[in-house]
Amino acid sequence: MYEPNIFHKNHFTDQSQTLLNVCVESNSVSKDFSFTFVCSTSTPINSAIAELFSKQAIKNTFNKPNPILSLESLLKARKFELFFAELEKIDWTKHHPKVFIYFIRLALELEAIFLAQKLSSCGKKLYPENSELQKFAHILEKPTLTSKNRQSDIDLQANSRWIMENRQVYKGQWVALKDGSLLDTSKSLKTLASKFPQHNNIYFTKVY
Amino acid sequence: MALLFTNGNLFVKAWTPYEYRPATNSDLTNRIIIPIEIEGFPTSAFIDTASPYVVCSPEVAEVINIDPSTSIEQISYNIRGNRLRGGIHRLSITLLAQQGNPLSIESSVFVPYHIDKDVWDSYPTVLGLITFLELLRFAVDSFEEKFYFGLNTD
Repeated sequence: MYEPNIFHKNHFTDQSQTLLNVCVESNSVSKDFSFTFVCSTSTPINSAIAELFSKQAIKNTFNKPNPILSLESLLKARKFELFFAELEKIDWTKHHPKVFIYFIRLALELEAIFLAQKLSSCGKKLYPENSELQKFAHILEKPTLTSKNRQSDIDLQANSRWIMENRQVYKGQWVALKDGSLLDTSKSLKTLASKFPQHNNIYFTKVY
Repeated sequence: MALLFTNGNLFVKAWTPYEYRPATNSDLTNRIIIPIEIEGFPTSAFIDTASPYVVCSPEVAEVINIDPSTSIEQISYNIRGNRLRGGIHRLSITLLAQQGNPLSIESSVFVPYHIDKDVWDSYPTVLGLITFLELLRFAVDSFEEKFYFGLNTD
């Protein structure tokens, strides 16, 4: 349940009656209402508006459960199965893609990565023209193999042996190794890497 | 040497030697640290099945010149008790092999922004489960300090 905002539009007083026009707004939905009531000229309009809020008609209009707010509550409560069940009931053609992006971001903030992956995949299908959702889907896609037949001729065991044998001497330093031979060292990886613009078969690691 | 199922079918055949040590001077536990490439840059990473993401070391991120505009920006993530802000990028990670073929995998990688060196403490890149290891079959030979890896289609 939530409290709507009531905005005074105008009012007309005729003898003992006042016609009060207000706009009632809640959660981006607004509706105009007109009320006629008897009041004395000394009754402040704000008091009349406050009284209006108690009117059941307004409450009934705006206190319907909001499906988007319900979804948000489910997600924050980590009720993921219920969240997905409710998500599928919503007609997303009536909602801006930003709402979907909000839920993906919320899932990421909650570190529910698998949920963010699932949502981004759904969002990509629901809004194929939305470039931001396409980007989210690409970045959050499950890991994909890009290459498996590349030849490798790096002697990794030689590098491992060098590290074991020289750990105490170079502790705390970044080292550049090639097939078990030390090429250079530095306290900064950026400095060390800049000396070898071609990284072929070189291994950069910090020694501990 | 390849690893086989009991029925003789291949499990995996590629392996890399690993270091078994704390990741930093202040780290309290030993880690399995293997050689990888991230966006073609050869460096080390440690296996962490408790981490959902691959987390790129900020020092490495600085070297490989990641473009922030291609990321999901302003995401926060809890790393070792610190809530860090960063972006999620799609990057290429290659597992290097002493024997067998290296594997290159595109993965969702969290890159922390503007992080205090004392907070990160020169941890290497982290290889997490959901955005990386879940694609693989992998095994650890702790006697010979070998990390075996491969795909289920090997």
